[in-house]
Amino acid sequence: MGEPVYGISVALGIVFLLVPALLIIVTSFDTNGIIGRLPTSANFSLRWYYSFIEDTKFTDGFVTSLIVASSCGALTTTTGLCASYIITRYAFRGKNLLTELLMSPTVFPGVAIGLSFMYMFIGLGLRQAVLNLIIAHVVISFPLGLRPLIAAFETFDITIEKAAVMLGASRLRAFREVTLPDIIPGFIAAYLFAFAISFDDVAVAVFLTDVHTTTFPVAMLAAFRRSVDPRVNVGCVFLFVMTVVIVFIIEKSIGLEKLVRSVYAR
Amino acid sequence: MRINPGLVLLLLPLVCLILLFVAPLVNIFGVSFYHYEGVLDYRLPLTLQNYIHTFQSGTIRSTFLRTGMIALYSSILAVVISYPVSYYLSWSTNRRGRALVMSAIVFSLFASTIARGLSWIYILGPQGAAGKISEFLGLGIGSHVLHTEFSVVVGLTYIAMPFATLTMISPLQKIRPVIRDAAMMLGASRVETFLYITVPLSIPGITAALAVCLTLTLAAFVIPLMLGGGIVDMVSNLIFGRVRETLNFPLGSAMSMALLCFSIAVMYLSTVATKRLGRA
Repeated sequence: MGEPVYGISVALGIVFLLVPALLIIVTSFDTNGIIGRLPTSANFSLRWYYSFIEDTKFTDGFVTSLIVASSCGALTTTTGLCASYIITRYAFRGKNLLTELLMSPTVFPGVAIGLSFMYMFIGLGLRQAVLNLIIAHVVISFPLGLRPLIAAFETFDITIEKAAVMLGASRLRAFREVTLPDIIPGFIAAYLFAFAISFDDVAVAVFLTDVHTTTFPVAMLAAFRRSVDPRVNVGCVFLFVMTVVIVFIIEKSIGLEKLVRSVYAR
Repeated sequence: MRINPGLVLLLLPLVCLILLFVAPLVNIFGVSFYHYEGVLDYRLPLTLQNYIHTFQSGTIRSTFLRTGMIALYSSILAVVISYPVSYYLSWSTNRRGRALVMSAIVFSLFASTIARGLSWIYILGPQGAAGKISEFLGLGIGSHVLHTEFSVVVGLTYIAMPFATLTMISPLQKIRPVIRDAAMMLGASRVETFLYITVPLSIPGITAALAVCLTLTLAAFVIPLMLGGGIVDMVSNLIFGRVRETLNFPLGSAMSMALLCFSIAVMYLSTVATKRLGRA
């Protein structure tokens, strides 16, 4: 099959994925914000980092995104727990329909969801932007957050839970002390999926932010459109660090390959 | 069927969630039939005017067409580039290599869309590497590449690639290696085996990956905004403009419904086409 061709195309694919990120990291340290210059001692500067941290637009946006994303993750994981429990353990007439409905938000364009929530919240007079964002983000992150939980429940050996019940534990206690500890990696994965989707979201957030409240990606986008702002690079570096942390946590808790197989296998 | 009280308790948050999914969407389906008189002034009678405008407006029609083309190009490119990587992840026995590649993919999956789009602005922009490389090679394309459909396609391919890779891993693993070995034992060269055995057997995986990428790219918002610079708009950007700037919800809703139908149509057609190609 042409071994070298195969190897080169794989390598090229990976290089294609990673090099642009490196470019941004390098540029963020550049004194004049010039793109792609290799950092020498003459060019290296942290000024954009200082400027970035001092700008409340960015820091407020970061904090807001953090709050929204972590709440969204918590809510998605909790409701996902209910959903996956029901889906994996009960059989009833409407079950397939239920599952399809829960997975449906992926079909809709982000702007459609953002638009519909904006309209609904305006109509209901709900003006709390942070709350609105959390609710809308739960909707878009639920389908992807549900998958690791379903996978975790399906690979769990239910007989040990039944054994606990037979030995006298109440169902609730058996669930809490036997099942839950085993499922925690699924929890972590679901939480991180929901967190990442919420933090990164722009298409929905851009409809639900207002003068007082903005999310980090929206703030970055605004800065980017206003002018050529080298501080946007700094923001990206922070985002990359966050991503590395997330990937690291996933690797340590559930293992990347296992997670991917469980989530993407049909 | 016994009504288990625990079941009801668990179903409650789910029902709320589903209502939360469904209510806003049903709402704007209704809104798409309203009459737009001005900012926040929507009134009856119900009208099809919004939909008519969507189909008649040259701008909107051409944007839909452009969106479809860009999405198709990016999705196909993403699947093609991802195929070797997926193949590697499915079949390689090198644990460290797989771990490395997988980390890169998952990193790209979780990394921020804005950050990844920004990097292509740098590469394709006036000071960027693309310009310098094409200068070096003597091609004159260089610095005018940004804010064109080409740059949007490149950006979307970049975003879609991890999704395509991950979607294809599982179907590729289902190809039984004995079939490949049998073909080679019967005298086929490695290239022939690949072209006539492996690729046709990968069709289900390719179809699935295409569908995933199309869903993503048809609804794209951030990448066209950044790499299209307001000149290359996709439907999502258009909807955003109509709604956020003039608060014309009826029109925005009608366009969203149209986009939804358009996406379903494009996905269906691509699935049919890929299956046809697979049989050919």
